Amino acid sequence: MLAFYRCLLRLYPAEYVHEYADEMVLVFRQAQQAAREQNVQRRVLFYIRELFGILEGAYRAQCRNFHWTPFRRFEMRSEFRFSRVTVAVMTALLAFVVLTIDYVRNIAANPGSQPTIGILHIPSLSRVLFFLAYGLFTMCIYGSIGYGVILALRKAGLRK
Amino acid sequence: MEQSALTEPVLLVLLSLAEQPRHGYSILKDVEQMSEGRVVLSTGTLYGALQRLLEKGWIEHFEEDESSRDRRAYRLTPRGRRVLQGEIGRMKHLTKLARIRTRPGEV
Repeated sequence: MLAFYRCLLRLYPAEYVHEYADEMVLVFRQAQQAAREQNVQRRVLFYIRELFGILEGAYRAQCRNFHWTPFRRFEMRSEFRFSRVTVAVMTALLAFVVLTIDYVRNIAANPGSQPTIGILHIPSLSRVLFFLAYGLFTMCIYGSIGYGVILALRKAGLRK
Repeated sequence: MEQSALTEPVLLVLLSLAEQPRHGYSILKDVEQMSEGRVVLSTGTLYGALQRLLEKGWIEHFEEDESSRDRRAYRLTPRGRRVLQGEIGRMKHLTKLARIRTRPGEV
């Protein structure tokens, strides 16, 4: 039971565990020893109380630890660095998703006709090549925009 | 600044420490004894309350010679004592008011 209690203590924030965990374990052990001398009903009540007490305490401690702000998602940690590969891969994925949606939408809208991407009608032989070229072009556009935004944020000194 | 009413567990923890510095388990037992078994704190609840009281500066760690990290005592600070006395005064006022308002024969 003590091992389980120690496991539950991990639900608390790290600072809280560092400050109080040892003390809480000691008090729990003392209370557990006292509970062992009581009847089964009181012992069960003791464990239920401890279980709910620790869950409630962990929830409260986590809530107190978490300061939510609507601008949190725009905050950048000082040690945060965007890797160029990450930007490229994310942009490629975004471009791929946008193009696929567009492609499928056109097929669904005109079942018998030539598939198009955006405003461009694609001949059947060079469809794949054109698709790739268009994808690369879109990727470059999105990449430039994304990199520009990141650069602007950095220059503005937006930090935590 | 006016202090809002304390919850019963917090009031009992403060009362327990008003008498003498105590360790966690001693506070648990004293609270149970003072409330005649009505308020039984779990360790999670107790340490949540102790953390809040420490942050507010109403209690503090009490250094003992053999004190270690897993066996620390707590005691009331002068500020905590003032808060406790304020709460007791508020309760006395309420009790007096209740006695007057619920006097038999009055409508």
